[in-house]
Amino acid sequence: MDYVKKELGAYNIHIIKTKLYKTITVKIFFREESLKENITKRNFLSRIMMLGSNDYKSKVDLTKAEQDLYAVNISGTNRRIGNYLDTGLSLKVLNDKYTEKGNFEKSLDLLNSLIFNPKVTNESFDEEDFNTVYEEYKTDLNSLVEDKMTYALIKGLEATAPNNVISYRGIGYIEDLEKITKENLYTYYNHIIKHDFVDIFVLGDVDEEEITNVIRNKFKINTYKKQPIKALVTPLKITKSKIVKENIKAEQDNLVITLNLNNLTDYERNYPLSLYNAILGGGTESLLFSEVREKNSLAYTISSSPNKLDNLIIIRGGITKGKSMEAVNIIKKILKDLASGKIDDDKVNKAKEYYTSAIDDIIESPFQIIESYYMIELLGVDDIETKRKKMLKVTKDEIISVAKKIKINTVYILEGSDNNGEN
Amino acid sequence: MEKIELKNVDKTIYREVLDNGLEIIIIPNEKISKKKNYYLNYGTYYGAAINEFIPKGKTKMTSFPKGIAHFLEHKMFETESGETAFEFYAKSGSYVNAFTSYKTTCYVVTGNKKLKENLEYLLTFVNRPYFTKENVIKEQGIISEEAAMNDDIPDYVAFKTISKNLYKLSPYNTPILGTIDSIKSITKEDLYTCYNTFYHPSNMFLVVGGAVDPDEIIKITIDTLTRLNLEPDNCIKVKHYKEPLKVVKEYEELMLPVKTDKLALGFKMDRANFPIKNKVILNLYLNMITSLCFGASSNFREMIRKRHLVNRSGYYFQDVDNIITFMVEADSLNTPVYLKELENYLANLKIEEEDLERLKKVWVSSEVIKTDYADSIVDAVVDDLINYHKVITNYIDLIKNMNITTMNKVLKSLDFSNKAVVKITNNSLQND
Repeated sequence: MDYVKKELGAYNIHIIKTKLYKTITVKIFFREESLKENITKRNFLSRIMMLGSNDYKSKVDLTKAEQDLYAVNISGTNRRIGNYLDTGLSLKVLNDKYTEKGNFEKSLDLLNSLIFNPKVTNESFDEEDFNTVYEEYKTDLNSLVEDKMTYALIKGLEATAPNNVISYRGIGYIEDLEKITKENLYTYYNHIIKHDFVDIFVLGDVDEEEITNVIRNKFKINTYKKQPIKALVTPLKITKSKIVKENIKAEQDNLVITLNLNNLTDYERNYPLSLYNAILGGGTESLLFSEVREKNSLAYTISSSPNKLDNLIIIRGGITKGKSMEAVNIIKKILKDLASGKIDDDKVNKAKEYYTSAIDDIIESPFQIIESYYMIELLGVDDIETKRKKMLKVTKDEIISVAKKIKINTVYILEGSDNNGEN
Repeated sequence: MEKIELKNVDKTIYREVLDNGLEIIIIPNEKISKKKNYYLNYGTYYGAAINEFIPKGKTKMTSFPKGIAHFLEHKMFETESGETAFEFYAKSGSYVNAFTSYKTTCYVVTGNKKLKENLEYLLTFVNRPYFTKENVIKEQGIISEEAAMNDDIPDYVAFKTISKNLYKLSPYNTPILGTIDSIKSITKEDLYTCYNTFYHPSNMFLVVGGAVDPDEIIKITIDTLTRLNLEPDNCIKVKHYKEPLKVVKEYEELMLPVKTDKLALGFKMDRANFPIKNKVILNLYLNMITSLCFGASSNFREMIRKRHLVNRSGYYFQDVDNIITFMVEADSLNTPVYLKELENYLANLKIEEEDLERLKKVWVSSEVIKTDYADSIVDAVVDDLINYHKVITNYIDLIKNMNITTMNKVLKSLDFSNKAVVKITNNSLQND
């Protein structure tokens, strides 16, 4: 796999040349500072852009065009990475060798059209598409409470630090949706095209020069120069941990516990923390799984995941109705034991194996490969081979010293009850 | 070992049936590939739809608690030494899991280290049950939480209810997990009986893909199974059901705190009425109908979106022995109008030849893309085994042979008159 990065001023092109896939994958990242008021607009925009463009007037036309290009697959995702809002628009299509000459370029034209030629007249998005997306999005936002696990996570983060970037709802806000018009959406679209940081990745069996020229000719982005911001979120102030409970009609409790990471160094955040989390709740071998589920039969799902850039670990579980506090006490004991150094060498080794397997798994998917290079670009993290070496050298003492810097911020319980609670 | 070329996609698969009856399918990566992952899938033709059978060594047809196949799957992870399969695989950073469907139970391992040890262990733990009264009671708690988690998902409740209202005799009328009551009634003895009847090599398969060498896989498997001393058993007798065409209950409404109505519909049809007897080919045509008439390129989907009739909807055919059911699931924004439009549309389904030809091209492309992903090919082979008990090696030819004449015959044979509808709503008055 050969990797080349080209800085073109307005944006960077990253070319990953490999014969591992019969497809060519292109992913374009747009990112800007994470402002709460932009989340909903950004989601709205991705949805409407996927419905068509001036060249493909309806979703039916667009889908048929995609199918004619040997099933080119176009998709869009939105997420928050620390202090950034990040949008990825991608295409994956068979290499021309397996289709016909020119198919890849035509596929790029299609993606190009969706991004740069949206269905806009008189400085405003198409009314019919706008209304369709508006209604669908509104229903999704209103139905949020039906997905109890996700709802509990959102409420748990809001209970942890309302108004802080760590609790911003990725799905967006109904009150922000109500402010969106087809005109101000177009204003925001122009803002993104002119101001966002842009990175374009191409992965596949391609010619470096040729692909650079093709991209240069098709993607005429002229963004203003701007200063990058720091992706890492300022750690939350340490306060006394709190318990928040809410009631809902449900067959089980949904538990969310947020853990503060206090004063971790970059090294600790990138290395010992990953191992700490694998030991705590990373999989079926973790302490949460074996203690809460296997030994005490209190849950079917229970796990933890680190939001490194938010300086948080989040524990989530679906717990037997009425027994969440039992689970919380077990979890508190696990955290205390880890901080006091009760960690088997065996667990550390397993966590390292888990991590190195995950590294070898990256080349199984073009999107995973692109993601790993994007993180190097965005966060300046080590490359894969350096990561592997450093991770294998992490000592148990380093994990323990991370464990000592971890403290419960909030215990949030969405209690299942037989009655309709207030929600 | 049989060597089979997958046509038009530069891929070779290997097949072997051992003396003890185990069927092994191996799909290795190309030699030059740098990918290191391997995917193992060890399955038995025993799932949630097999609940009445003659237990091994007995003569009488016996019925077992619903959900027992899934319960058994959970319990297989425990071993006599006290080390669970989860703990074993964690040592090499590998992934282990299992899935129970109506027709099969599959145990899967994914990793990129210690292939030999991991395959040996897979073959061993699935062939060495260890059930105790205590570990059965513990599992009842865990599975009850799995059921509670599902019951908190309105879509699942809709699916569970439509299944109950569609099928009178077929075990498809009950969730794979069973019910809270049936889960609580499962005993250690029941588990051993089911295990002994269905978990032997002649009723099982092993599918392996990724960074593997076929000869090595066969050798490890033979060596391990020889040590375990497993015998073939070819006389499994399972109860077959002749499911009546008529639905059990035509309409049911449930009240739950949902924000949009959740609809589930099922249309039962007699398999005998379809013009194609070959299951593989019939399924291709039925899936093609789903894609063309209800997919993103269909005018129906465009219409229901633009008129804000539904927020999300899914359409597929379910294969239940002598019955084929067309299923619809929808988050409905305007239930009466959506149901009326759907009914009109179903009465007049049409497919144009150019649309059929376009989608055939898409499907052929997908077959080629799939060969880049060892996990996808393993899954596809396992699906073939589950559905047809054999691997289909000529999908691209079968797709290319699809034609509008046959399509029209299939369309004509669809009958939407045996219908069940379930509606989950927050307010029984709002839409009626």
